[in-house]
Amino acid sequence: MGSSTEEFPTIDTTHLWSTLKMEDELDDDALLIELHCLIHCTSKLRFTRHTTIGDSQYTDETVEEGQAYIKKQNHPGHNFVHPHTTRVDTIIAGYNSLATKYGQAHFDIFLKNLYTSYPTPDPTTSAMTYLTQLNEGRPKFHVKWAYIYDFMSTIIEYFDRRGVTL
Amino acid sequence: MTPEERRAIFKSAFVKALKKDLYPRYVNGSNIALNHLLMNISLSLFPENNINSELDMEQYELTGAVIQRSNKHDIRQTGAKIHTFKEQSLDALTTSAYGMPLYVILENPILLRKLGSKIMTFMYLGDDLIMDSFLGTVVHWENMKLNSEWKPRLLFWTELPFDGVKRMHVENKWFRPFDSADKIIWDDFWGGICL
Repeated sequence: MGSSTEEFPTIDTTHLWSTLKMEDELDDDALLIELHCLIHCTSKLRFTRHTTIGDSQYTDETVEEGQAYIKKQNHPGHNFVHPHTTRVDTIIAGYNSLATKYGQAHFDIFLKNLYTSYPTPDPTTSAMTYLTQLNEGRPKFHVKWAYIYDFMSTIIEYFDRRGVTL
Repeated sequence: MTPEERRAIFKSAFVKALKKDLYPRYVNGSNIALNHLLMNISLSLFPENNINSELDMEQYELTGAVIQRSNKHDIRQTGAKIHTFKEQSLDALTTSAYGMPLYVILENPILLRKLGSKIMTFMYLGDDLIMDSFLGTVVHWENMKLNSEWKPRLLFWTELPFDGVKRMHVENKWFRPFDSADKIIWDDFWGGICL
């Protein structure tokens, strides 16, 4: 059995990747897999022993432990950094790393195309507008919507930080 | 099978599967990448007489594959055996569980009281490793199970019978892998991945 404390922050650090010798693959399919896994690895759906719920809407507020959890969620302290901020920074760092690995120019074109060609019901509507509209008035959390939203919004953020507006 | 052939099959199946969630029919639906990964691998390994090409995942995407009773029902249609975990360890799983789904329940009576519980599907990769159903992350169960907030608990795992019975048999197609000849190909494929 492998080390139970071993973490795999990105797909290319896993046994799966090395066993398949995926490091030899540097085509667009491999890049898409790495991008997909990067988005997912940074989400709250990636479970380790330290992954928190980070949401008090399901908590039993009638017991002391529940009340303490709700209080902690509502008053996280002055040094609190929202997980979304950390997630975006991690994804952008991952994008930069992949740009180095696959070539900056190729990576930028691939990522730009991923965003601009994302299918929406109305071709004149951008992916972000479509995704935002889709969730308006629907407070329920959908994992797939969140995954696509994180993907598309961080592409915009990546280019914004490079001074490029999509 | 050569490592290159194995890699090509896995990679192609992986990309097709993740695109099902990246470009979904229902954006607010459930993720179905793992279903498609296994379906695509099956079709690549057994292109002939394979009913899996006609499987419709739309209902999974619409309603979620987390309804345990219907999930178990669908698994049994393939002939797969369902084994309940007696210990909170993957040590009991053998090579026959490579690439097969296993199910984990999340239940915290205080922090998740209003949610009740949530069931998640993972794919077993051997050596205590599991991959989530989004095909996005690989984690160690022995690490994950220590999570004190979500309190994950192993429910059951699945195992294909390879008994030669042509299940979901319609005309000249049935569920594959299904017999001892298929088992050799299936085990060779996964054995080269889950080392």
